[in-house]
Amino acid sequence: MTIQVVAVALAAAVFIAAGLAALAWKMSGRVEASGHGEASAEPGTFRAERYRPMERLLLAEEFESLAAQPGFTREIGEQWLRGRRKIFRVYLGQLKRDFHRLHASARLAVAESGEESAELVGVLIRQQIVFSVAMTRVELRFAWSALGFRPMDIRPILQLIDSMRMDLERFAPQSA
Amino acid sequence: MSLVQVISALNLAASFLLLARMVASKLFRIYPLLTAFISVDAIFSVCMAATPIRSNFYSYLYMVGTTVGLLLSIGVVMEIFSGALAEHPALAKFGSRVVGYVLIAAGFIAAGTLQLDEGIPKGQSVILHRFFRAERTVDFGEVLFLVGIGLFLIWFPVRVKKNIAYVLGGFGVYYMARSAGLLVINLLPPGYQRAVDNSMLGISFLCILAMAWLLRAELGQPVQVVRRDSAAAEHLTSQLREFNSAVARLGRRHI
Repeated sequence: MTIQVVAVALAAAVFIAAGLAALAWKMSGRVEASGHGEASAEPGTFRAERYRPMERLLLAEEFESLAAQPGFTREIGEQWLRGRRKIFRVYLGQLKRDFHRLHASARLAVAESGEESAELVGVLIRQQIVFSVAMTRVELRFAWSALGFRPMDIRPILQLIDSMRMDLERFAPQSA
Repeated sequence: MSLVQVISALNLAASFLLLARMVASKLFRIYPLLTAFISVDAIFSVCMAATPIRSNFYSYLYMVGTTVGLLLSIGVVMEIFSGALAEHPALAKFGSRVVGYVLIAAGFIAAGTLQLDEGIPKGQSVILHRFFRAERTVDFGEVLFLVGIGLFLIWFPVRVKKNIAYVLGGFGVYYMARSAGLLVINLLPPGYQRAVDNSMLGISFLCILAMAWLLRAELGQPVQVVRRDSAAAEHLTSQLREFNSAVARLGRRHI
């Protein structure tokens, strides 16, 4: 038993020490970079139109409308769903990337602003945690729905984005 | 001359080299607690080298030196923390609010490992066992705190002085090695202590040498940070509003 504890402790110590060295290495390299890695205070243009097709992709009404057509078969329905889910996943990935890009820009803006933006730091940390949890839940539900067990509900992610918007609106005027 | 004496001498030489570097480059003004920590460590190392290793006085010297070193090391960790955030007022203010909670959390997690070495191996001094146990717990708490600082700095992207990054890495690896080494000493029979001591001293030597080699005066200059006006935050807010409305439209009933 002692040997196992020693082995696990040493493995954990090596892992943490290597992680610390890597962190220090990454931090030391950041100084001479021209920017801040992938983040930029100019987040670029976010186009809502890009996600408009998502609204209808997996609507139950769409599927019911298709199922009501003459000649509809189960195979046709499954093929239709497979295609729609594939496209939905691509959009979901893009949505995630957009969130991370916008969030990184917000972090950079806060990091480079004055003391009055201190409250935004906590807001950004909370947003990141909640987003990660909500996205994981959506991914799990998406996978579950793909197996044909139940309809997909993406409301948690919508609630999150809404609270994120409200938080930022509340604090943005102070971040000058 | 035994191996442990050779490595101890190398450690001492590296400590003096690092001190010389810090004085020559005037880094001791920026990192006074780190300078004090290295000085105290070097002084106690010299005293211990002149004391018979199997004497009680050697043990007392070790415990006093380590206690003073531990207290200073907490100061060094706070020095790293404040130095890293010095150029970022918003993060510094947030950090000053939460640092106490983070330290308490790190302490609790570290204390969770106390049960690993509850039993005292046959032949080991009870006092030293308990002292090692307390020391490695504090060491581990400091490492966790440093990991937290590092992750926080990387996540925001925060520009830090290279010296801060090197001290964080060197100090973190040094204390991780000490914490793990003392745990192993407390778990294994006393016969293994010399090998573990040599390993800890070897890693300590590498960490001090790396810091002595990497720390540079010119890199201690303040990082130039471009201050942003409210326009950037307002632009982001409008972008996130767009983001939200796009996702909100998905809130209908889906298959």
